[in-house]
Amino acid sequence: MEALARGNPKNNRRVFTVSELTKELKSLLELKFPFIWVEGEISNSKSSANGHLYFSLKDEGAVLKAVMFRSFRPNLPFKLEDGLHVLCFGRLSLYEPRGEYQLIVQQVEPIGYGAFRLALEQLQKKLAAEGLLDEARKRPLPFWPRVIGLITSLHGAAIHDFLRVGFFRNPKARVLIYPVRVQGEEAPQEIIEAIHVLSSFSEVEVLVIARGGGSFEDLLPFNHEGLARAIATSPVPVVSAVGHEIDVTICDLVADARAPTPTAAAEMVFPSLNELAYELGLKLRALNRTLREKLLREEQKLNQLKRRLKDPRQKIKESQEKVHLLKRRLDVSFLRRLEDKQNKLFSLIKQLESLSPLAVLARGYSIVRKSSGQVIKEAQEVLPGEELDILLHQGKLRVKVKEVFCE
Amino acid sequence: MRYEEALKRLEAIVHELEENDLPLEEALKRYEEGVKLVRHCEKLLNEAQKKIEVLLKDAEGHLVRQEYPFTEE
Repeated sequence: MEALARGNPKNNRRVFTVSELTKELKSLLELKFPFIWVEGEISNSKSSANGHLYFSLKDEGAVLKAVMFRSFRPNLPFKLEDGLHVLCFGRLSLYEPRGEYQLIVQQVEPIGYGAFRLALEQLQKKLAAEGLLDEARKRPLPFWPRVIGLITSLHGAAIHDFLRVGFFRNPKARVLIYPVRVQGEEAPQEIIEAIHVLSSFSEVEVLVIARGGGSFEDLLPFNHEGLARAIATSPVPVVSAVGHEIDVTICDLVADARAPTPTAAAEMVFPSLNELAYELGLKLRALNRTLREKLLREEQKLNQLKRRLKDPRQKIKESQEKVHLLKRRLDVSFLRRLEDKQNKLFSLIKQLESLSPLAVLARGYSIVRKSSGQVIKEAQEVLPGEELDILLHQGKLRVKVKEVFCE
Repeated sequence: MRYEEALKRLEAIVHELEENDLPLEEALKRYEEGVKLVRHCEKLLNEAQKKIEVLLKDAEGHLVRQEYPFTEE
């Protein structure tokens, strides 16, 4: 074992310390693989407290450790999830304290439809959480925009379809086109600029982003976060007319209106002049009809009032008749009451008569009075020789008292 | 007045006239206004001018408005 002694030059052995070897390996790795693309499936992904992302890339035969430092994370178009098939760009490095080599990732691109879907879902979730996809914040499209801002490629069917259908509906429309690339890496930035430029014209009252159908790769620009934000903050409503067979794009979800094709978008933003003229005709007819009906109703009202309105002479006559009638009733009742009174008076007179002393005289009695008129009721009231008057039923006697008998 | 505003006002007038509680004089005024609105809308339908322009960048990168030739064929 002596021979194996550390750093024994006699045996012609080149012995490294761990650090030396690791350092050699590190520079070898970094020289041999300065910047590389690696394809693989993500596993064991986790985010560290200081914001770095750690994960492994694997395939059927091997595993490669990878890290994405915090400063590169903004480059990430989606959240890394296990099982995702990706293409990573970066450099190989060796972390000496641990003796581990790893890929220092600077950029990650999803591979295939699954990754595309995932990126889409993640961005959708993020924007939804911010409320950018809320139906409530979608604006109605203008009824008849002064100028329609069109963002599309000058080459291809989309622009032709849109203008053909649009000008068929409204042959007098005004359109301002901002030509952009609708695919490739430059597309999102160009579309964002188009939104800013077109919406700065006060006459442009609606924007239409149009492209014909395409594969999901063709539609990648329309799932761009910056574009989504530009659409959301556009001062005028935006119509997304990105024709495609597969799912909607983020552009569709953020836009104020979504059209399945450029043709459908044209139908949304160009009012049909023929239809407008037809509807206006209907409105004019309704206006005339309602006035006619109004006049008819007024006439009926007038007739009704006329019937209720009377000649004042007729009214006077009616009043007079009423007075006559009352007077007659008054007369009749007055006469009746007069008669009643008379009858009562007569019966009272009769009663009175029966009580009158004159009536007693008629039955043969007489009244004796002194010359002073005093009625004599007892013999002692008179003296012999006194003159008295005797009242008879018929006539009167003057007599002289001969003798007085007081019982 | 914009076409859709005029149309909305026109609808309101027709509705008002259908209601019976408008004095006749008011109703006639509304009708007159309605007819004016119809004329205005017709004017808008007839007066609009077709125009297609395209924004292109010149040599210095400035945006320039140009007529865009479009034929329906």
